[in-house]
Amino acid sequence: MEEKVTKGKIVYKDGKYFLEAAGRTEPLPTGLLTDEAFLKEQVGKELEVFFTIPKPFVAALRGIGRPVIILCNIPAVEFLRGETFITQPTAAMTRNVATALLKGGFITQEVFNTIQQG
Amino acid sequence: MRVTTKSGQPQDSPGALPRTFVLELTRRCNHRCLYCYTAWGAPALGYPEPQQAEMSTAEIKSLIGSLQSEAPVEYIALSGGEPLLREDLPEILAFIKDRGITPIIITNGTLLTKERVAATMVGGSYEVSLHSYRPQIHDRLSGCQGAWNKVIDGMANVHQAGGNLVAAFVATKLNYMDLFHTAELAIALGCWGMLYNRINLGAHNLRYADELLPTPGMIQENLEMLEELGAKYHPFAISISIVIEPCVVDFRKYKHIHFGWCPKGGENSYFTIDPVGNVRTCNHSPVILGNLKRDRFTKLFYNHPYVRSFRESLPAECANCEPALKEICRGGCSAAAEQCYGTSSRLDPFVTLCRQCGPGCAVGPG
Repeated sequence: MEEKVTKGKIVYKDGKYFLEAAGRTEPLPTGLLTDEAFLKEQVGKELEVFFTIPKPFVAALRGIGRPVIILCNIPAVEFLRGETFITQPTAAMTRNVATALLKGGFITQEVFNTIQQG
Repeated sequence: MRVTTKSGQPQDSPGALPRTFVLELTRRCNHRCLYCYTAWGAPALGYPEPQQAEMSTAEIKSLIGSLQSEAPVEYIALSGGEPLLREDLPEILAFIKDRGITPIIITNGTLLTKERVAATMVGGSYEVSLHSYRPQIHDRLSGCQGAWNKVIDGMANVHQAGGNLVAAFVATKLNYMDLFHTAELAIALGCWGMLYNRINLGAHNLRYADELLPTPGMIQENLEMLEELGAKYHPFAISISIVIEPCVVDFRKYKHIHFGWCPKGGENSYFTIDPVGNVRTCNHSPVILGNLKRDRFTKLFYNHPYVRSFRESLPAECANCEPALKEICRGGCSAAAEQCYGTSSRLDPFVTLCRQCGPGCAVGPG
């Protein structure tokens, strides 16, 4: 299903942008779903590719504007597809946010304690 | 930043079969959510089969096996009703996992005791409803006194057990202002993402539209909050799954939010199987295409006239829309139109009602 690659390259040909990664050359959409100015800047440079899914081809890149279509009502699926690089909030982050919520009076001490146990 | 791009979006590969399915294990539910969109929640829709009818564990396993023989199933979202009300949920989850499929449990979170979490932790994820940081608001929307406290305990239990947690927030007029701190609460509880859904209208919740339906201004305010959250709490993932039509709010300036669009019966669809095996184009649709205990999925997917018309439908009001926007939006949620008007070819009722919301409305009448 999911294959990990580390490098890819954006190429420009006949007015279109393509991604070369995982042994494939795939067209990149522009306009609403991607930032064409960014693509233009990146042409020819080596890019980090977080993961790809072969069929239909999905590649995760850093800095390419708009994300993929998310399945209506169950985007957890899309989150799962990205789990190779999405990380859970760190313990420090959850603790700091919980503390801020407590200090701000948005949660009670009891709820804070429950969160901290988790 | 998590960003992805995909070739040929948003078009599907011609003829390719879906990889994700929703399995509604039961109609039973311990909540009475005001925003509930289930097809069986509204008697007027005439959804068949008695309330208590459910497939046995063996029937469910058989159905999953035969579905997998026809389609490249990668994900099964277990929903309901409340899926944790089925005692055999751990056995179903284990079966799904053994078949190489990733399960997702869509739950209201109140039954996630430590024991149930331990029994259901098979490497999938939990999508848990969290509608406010204020208990009384969450309980009001859930129609269940004391729900919020149980949800917090349940999410803490999942986090403590090392499970994958995603919070689901249904935005209404009652809770939209709570979004920011609710998302922070989700982060504090260990969620790695939030699913933001504006209320999706259906035959059941339409009666509460005056009380619940957020204005376009409220939605826009929420998107600003989400954008700020995305920037502030990287890598917390934020996804919009119920379509926010571009004619209601222009989505293009929000860089930290994933916007979802209706897959319209194509490869990226999540065909939904109800507790007795009836299959529909999605979990919002009330239209039964057939029953997977006797019908082959591929036959329904490729040949059913409703699916074909569902794919091709474009509301007349959208004819003059900007082509690129029209291509991805296609009139919003067709299932909501089907529930409210009896046809999938009309404009999402959310847009229609937004246009009637009068002064202060970002869209305005028309």
